[in-house]
Amino acid sequence: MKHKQYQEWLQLYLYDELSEDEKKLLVQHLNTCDKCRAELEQLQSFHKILMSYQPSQISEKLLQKARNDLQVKIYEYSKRKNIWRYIADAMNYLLTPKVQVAIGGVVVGILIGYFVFRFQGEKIFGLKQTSTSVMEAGESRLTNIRFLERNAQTGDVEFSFDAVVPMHVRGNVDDENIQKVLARIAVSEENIGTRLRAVGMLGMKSEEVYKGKPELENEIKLALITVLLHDENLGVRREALNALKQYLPDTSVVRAFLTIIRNEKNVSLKIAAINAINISELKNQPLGREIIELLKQKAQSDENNYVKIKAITTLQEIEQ
Amino acid sequence: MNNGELELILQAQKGNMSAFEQLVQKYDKQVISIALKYVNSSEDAKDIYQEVFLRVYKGLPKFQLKSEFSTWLFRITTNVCLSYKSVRQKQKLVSLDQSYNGEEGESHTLKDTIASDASTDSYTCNKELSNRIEDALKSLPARQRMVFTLKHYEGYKLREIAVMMNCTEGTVKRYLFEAIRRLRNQLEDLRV
Repeated sequence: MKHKQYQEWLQLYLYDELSEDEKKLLVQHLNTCDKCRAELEQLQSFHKILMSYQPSQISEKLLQKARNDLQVKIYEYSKRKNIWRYIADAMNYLLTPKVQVAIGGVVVGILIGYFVFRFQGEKIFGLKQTSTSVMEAGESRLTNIRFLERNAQTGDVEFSFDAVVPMHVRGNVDDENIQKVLARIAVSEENIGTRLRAVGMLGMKSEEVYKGKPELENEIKLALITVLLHDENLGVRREALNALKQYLPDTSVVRAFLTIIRNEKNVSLKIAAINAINISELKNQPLGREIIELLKQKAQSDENNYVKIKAITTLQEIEQ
Repeated sequence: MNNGELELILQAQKGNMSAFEQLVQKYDKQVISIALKYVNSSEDAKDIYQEVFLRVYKGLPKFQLKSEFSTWLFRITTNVCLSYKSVRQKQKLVSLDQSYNGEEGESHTLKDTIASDASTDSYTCNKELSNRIEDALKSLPARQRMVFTLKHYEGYKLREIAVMMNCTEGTVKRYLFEAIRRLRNQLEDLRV
């Protein structure tokens, strides 16, 4: 065998990548070859130097942060995907021959609509009017008007504007479209009071509302988890926690509650999260064992005595 | 693939978020560990983690169960790592030849300190040595660095790395040998 082959084997030998037969051959060769023995020593010395560098290690905090951020990313992605789906549906519909014929007439209608500045469209932000919800468009307001061109000789003008339409929505909280609007308000509205009311309304839904609608259920659940983990206002977070209790023992909700127990600064919200999970029900599952482990940590080292006592009593209840 | 995992995949493909999260949590420690060892930055590793699992989420409806889920996931992980470009400011590395002042005001270079075995601040010394090795690792071409990271710091077998990187075991060996050769050249002056 060529000498170069043995030199490569030396590297594989240190990484335990040689078969038993290859190892025997290499050891026999090392007994007779000074050059390879020297090379082995140098390689061992090189490995020793590399031990001075230890790349960053995973921490539980980093993993939790990554998991939480992923939930938000997926929520945002799902929202974008839904918007594109509505647009695609609309485009497919517009491409059918019957509709193409009708489009000519509709265009005239739209132009007239622009002139009187009224928008009675049924689809706004992808919302459809359904049997259980009514959406009425009010008088539009024109903003962001930009004059682009004016030809004094021909009298042609060109300008653009945004037409903001006030909507009035009436319907049941179980209605799919109403749930979607409330979820959007809960996640993105600036006004705290409005967010609080939207989250509260999402918590009022009936138990059967998501039957056969797993996508809707996921969308609303993710919105509420996003609010629970990221809203800056404690009241809104607390309302989200209450609304999420209905989804237990869903794993992602339990995980969100675990994050609250682990990282939340407010003591009462932490205790509410401990109270909300039925740990006895989960104690034989990996997630249950994770909760018990966390409670043990809290019982020993949480900076707040109430949390410590709560963790101790909860652990005692589980053991009984 | 065991039945439990298969069931989770099928449920996740139907849009069950809880099943998707269970899949994520089954493998995400390995994903973030690979990313962390490759980029050596928590923030960058977190970016890679998001990108990997977002790609998995987007691609899952089309995943055809012809390969193992873990194989598919780790291929995505290595691809995302290989194409990742950090947008963050890197910490400035210190040269071994750069002077620093000792306790009594005398001037040393890091190279002298390592060679002389002098009793100085060993923490600082290790830190600089560590920076030097990190610098050498980062100068490797992406694929060589990935193979070296997976083998040396994560302890994967060469055949496992070949599957992850979608290449032959022979190619993985070549990357490893070349990575070691380059690192030895760059760190030659540190030989103990």
